[in-house]
Amino acid sequence: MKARRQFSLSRLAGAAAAVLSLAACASFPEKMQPPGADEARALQADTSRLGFSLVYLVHGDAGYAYHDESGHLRGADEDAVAGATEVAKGSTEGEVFIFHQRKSASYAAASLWHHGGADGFLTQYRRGRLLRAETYSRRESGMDFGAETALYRRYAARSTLHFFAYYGHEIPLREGAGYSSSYPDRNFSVVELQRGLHGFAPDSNQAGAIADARVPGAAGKPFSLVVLSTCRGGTPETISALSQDADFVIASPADLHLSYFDTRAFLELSHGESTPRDSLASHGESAPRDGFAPRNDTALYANTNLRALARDITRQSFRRLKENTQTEVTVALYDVEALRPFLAHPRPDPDRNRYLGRAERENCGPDTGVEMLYQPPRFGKDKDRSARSAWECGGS
Amino acid sequence: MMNRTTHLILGFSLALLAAAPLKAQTDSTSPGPAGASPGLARAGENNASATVTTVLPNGFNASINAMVREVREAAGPDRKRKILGDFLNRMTRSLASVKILVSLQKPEIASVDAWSEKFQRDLSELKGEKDFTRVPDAELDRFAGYVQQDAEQAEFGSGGIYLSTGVLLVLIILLILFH
Repeated sequence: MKARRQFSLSRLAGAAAAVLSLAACASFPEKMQPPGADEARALQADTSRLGFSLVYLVHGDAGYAYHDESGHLRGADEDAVAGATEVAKGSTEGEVFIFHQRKSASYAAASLWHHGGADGFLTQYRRGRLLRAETYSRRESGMDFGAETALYRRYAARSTLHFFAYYGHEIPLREGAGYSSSYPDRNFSVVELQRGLHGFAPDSNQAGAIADARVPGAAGKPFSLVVLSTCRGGTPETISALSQDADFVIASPADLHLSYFDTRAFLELSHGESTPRDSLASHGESAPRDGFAPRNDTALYANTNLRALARDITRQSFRRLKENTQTEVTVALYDVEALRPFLAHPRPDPDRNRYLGRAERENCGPDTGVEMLYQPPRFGKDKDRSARSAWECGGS
Repeated sequence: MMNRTTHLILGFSLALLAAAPLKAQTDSTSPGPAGASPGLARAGENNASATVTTVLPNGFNASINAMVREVREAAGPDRKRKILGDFLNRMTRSLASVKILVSLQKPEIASVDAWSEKFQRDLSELKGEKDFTRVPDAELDRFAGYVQQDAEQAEFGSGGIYLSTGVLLVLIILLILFH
């Protein structure tokens, strides 16, 4: 009887706590201090070309809860935003946009918390300083980042290099209804991702201030690097879609733990190579062959250095995942130019893939043009496996 | 402790579900892509849907986390192995019962089977059966973490293998009953 009463009381207390926590979830985000009027004016008046533009798009409109090694409940999207913010604050040579797609609050909650049904939150940093923090709504736009690209085109300064990083669940190859909890009838697939990426491209037709921002000497793609921090992004279909706009792509061909990729190496763009390379060296990994140039070096934007940056992000992501993860870890760097003959080849119907055996599913792409980092799972049938392909053709 | 913690967690989920105007769909027609559970994907745009998609997976994940904590706190490998074995057995039994109790479409049956096979593989490895090397005593804490991470990567209701809201609801009830 006593035990039953304890259970009931604890359940009641827990339910109350959970309801309160849900109410907290429904509230709109962190209060951020915008810059003072003078500082904002100065930042906006600075029309000199920035070294780079980095857009983070973090999907948080689904289940992203996981437990860390200590058993603490974490939100993968919140962690991704925190990581992006760290990069933004240290990016003194460029501009960083962080779009956080969140669950839509109910009308009552929206009224209560005075954010008018907003389900997106933008923070913009220029030269490491917070320039803008505002809510926005995705209700009237499609799943191809319509709301985000409109804000980007309105606020972005001219930049020389462009980067894009997406954090979320696996992106289906087609259809994809139900990707976002708040908009279950809307599709989000690789098609929408590709269209959304076009919207952030510096040569998109509305780009005004950023229209002439192509990188001389680069492979001619709008984005130097796209980071796809999702499960099973390393499919030929996905890499092929992104290859139209990016020189390099970082993705995982298998499951990716929700602690995600680590992009702090982007700080190299502002501070040279010290932080990430020291970090890599301390973990016994070889440093990249092409050291990244310090800031203001004229070689900063050379393609070889971009490769080094991409490698650093790949290795640092792998190192962090390796430390925290018991399951399989796969991080791959795809060199789009080197993969062009393969990517240009028409893809078979993805439905066909479901009939392939495991070996055929995984070995469906070339080894050249890809750098693959792999750690087998600590348990399970694959625990003694020494290598894995950088491709996965089992996508839906 | 396990009983109370797990009941508490699962009870929260059910209590919240009772409070929300749930439209659990047990008749979804496809497993859907990553994101919200497919049952909800057809329930229309409402905020109860968003709540449910959060509460159910979180409640399930929390029950796994309670198991991991208990394994880590348990004294001795025999006790750790028993906690893990009981959990995996309960999970496979619950998933098998879901197939009997809920009318499922083919894709959902495949998802339930995939989850069930996953937990059965873990159980075989724990015991050292079916060509698996038995998990060493010193590795049991890590193995519990592996079970958790494997489940959270392919989260219930989003990513990887998908289960509808209706299936999740029945599964949580069964986990309580089988405890």
